[in-house]
Amino acid sequence: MFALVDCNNFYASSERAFQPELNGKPIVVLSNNDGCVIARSNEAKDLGIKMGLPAFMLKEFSENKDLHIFSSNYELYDDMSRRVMNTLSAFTPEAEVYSIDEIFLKFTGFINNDLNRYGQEMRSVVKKNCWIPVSVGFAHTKALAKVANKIAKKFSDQLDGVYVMDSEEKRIKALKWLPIEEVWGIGRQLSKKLIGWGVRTAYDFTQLDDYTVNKQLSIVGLRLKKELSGLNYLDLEETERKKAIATTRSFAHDEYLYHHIAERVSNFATRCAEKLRREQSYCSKIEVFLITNMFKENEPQYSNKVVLNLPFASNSDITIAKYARKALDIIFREGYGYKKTGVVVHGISPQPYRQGNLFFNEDLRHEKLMKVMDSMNISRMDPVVTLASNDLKRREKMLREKLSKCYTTKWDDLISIS
Amino acid sequence: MILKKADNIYSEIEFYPVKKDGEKYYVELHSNIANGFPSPAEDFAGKRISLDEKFLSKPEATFIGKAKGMSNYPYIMPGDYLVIRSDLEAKDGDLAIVYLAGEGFSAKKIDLQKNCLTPLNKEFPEIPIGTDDVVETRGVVKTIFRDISSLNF
Repeated sequence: MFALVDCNNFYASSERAFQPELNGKPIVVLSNNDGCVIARSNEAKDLGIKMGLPAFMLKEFSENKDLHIFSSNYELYDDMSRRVMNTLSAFTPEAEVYSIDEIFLKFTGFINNDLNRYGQEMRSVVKKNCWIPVSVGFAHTKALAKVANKIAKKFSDQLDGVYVMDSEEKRIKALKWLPIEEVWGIGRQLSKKLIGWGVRTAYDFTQLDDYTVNKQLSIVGLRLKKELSGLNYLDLEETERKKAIATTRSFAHDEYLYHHIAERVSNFATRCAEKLRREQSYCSKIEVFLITNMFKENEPQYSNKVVLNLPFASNSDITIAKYARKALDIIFREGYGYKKTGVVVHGISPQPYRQGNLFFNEDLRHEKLMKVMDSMNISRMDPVVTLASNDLKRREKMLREKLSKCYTTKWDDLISIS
Repeated sequence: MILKKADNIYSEIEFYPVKKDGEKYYVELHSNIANGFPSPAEDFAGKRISLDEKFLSKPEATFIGKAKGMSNYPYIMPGDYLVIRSDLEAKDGDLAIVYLAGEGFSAKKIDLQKNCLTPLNKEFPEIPIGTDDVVETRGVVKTIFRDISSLNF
């Protein structure tokens, strides 16, 4: 049996844990640089606030509907996430942290009858120890546990946040209830295609024949079909290596000048390199994109992206920043006001793939240099040493006007107790 | 007054936590003298007292707060650090953390006999609680530490 435990509206719940007066009030959390809505409490969803809504459009809600707006406080969320994950890991030795607010747990040798109560126990322990509400879905496969979790969350009042999908009858009922676009791993594009074929629910998807699914959706899609049919094709993954790592930001003000943007691109590239080194991975492709401000309808619009192959896999600041700059040179056009840029690294592998050609390998001194830099740059937001091509804190100031305190990670921000 | 408890419906099962942090990390000192007499104490090396181990042994359920005001004087002074264990059930006589509307987080002694939340400072009023009212505690204060430089003596 697998369980997927998911924190309810995790960012909003993390804020509420330290400001309980906000319970029952609508809350939204904004993206980096206070760009747009990335998280909502249920009350904010009920107000009709959509994901991705630009921050400036929230004004009417905060004035008339008592909406509380927060800048994203990842330092707080990360610490709260670790607390929740560690607490839940005590329930079974087999666990896989799937994202900042989700964890898969595997249970072997449990009687189904007990699972509901066991799920309730998990919920109440996490609520008590970490002050965060969670939902729990049990099922025989990981994909079905995802579905069970959706049900637990959707019908939280009736189910007390726990759903055990332990029979064929429940499985079919659940799959017939779940629209195809909400199935784990089916993106918007794919669901459009599937709906075109008349596949409207998860159940319809399981009725497609293996050959078609394999041909149209590859082996990944076929595995998903098997999993939804109740057959175990996915096990816990020990350390899941990411497929791509992205660092992107909206600028506080539109940028017109090449060298301003180039500095930012260099920053984002080195941030990606750092993330690669942290998980001991290397990338072989670099993507850079640029977007103008779509909300300024009177100004000329332009967006573009380019992917460059590296001659060798790398996780060095120097190499990745150099190629990111090259990529930027290809797509940059004068005369536009750019709102957002980003660097995405792809082709991630655990090994630095070495070419046969001696002249196209990473300079071995990079590795040593990066080690020294990483040991000096304890805080990633405020590095001690960095490339000279980076924006040296001149322009990249994150806009975080509505930032809450780092209650659990900073001495100056501790909870005040009377 | 009824204290809100986590539903211990599964108390017949004992949980053995799989610890991922809270480990001790020490810098080991090794005798590095190539041609000297080895330290007679070397065999006893490695034991050290750790504040983390003693007071922060359950990091996922430990919160630290900072005291303000005089409501728990003289036991707690303004500026004291309070180590709160959120996994512990508050019992009669415990100094528990409660959230009071309008006041925020507050440390109060639980008095189930008199049904009230009591500040440790006798000059401050007790807060009476109805017999059937549910009080949700956020944890129990287990340790207080104080930066002596905050004292004016």
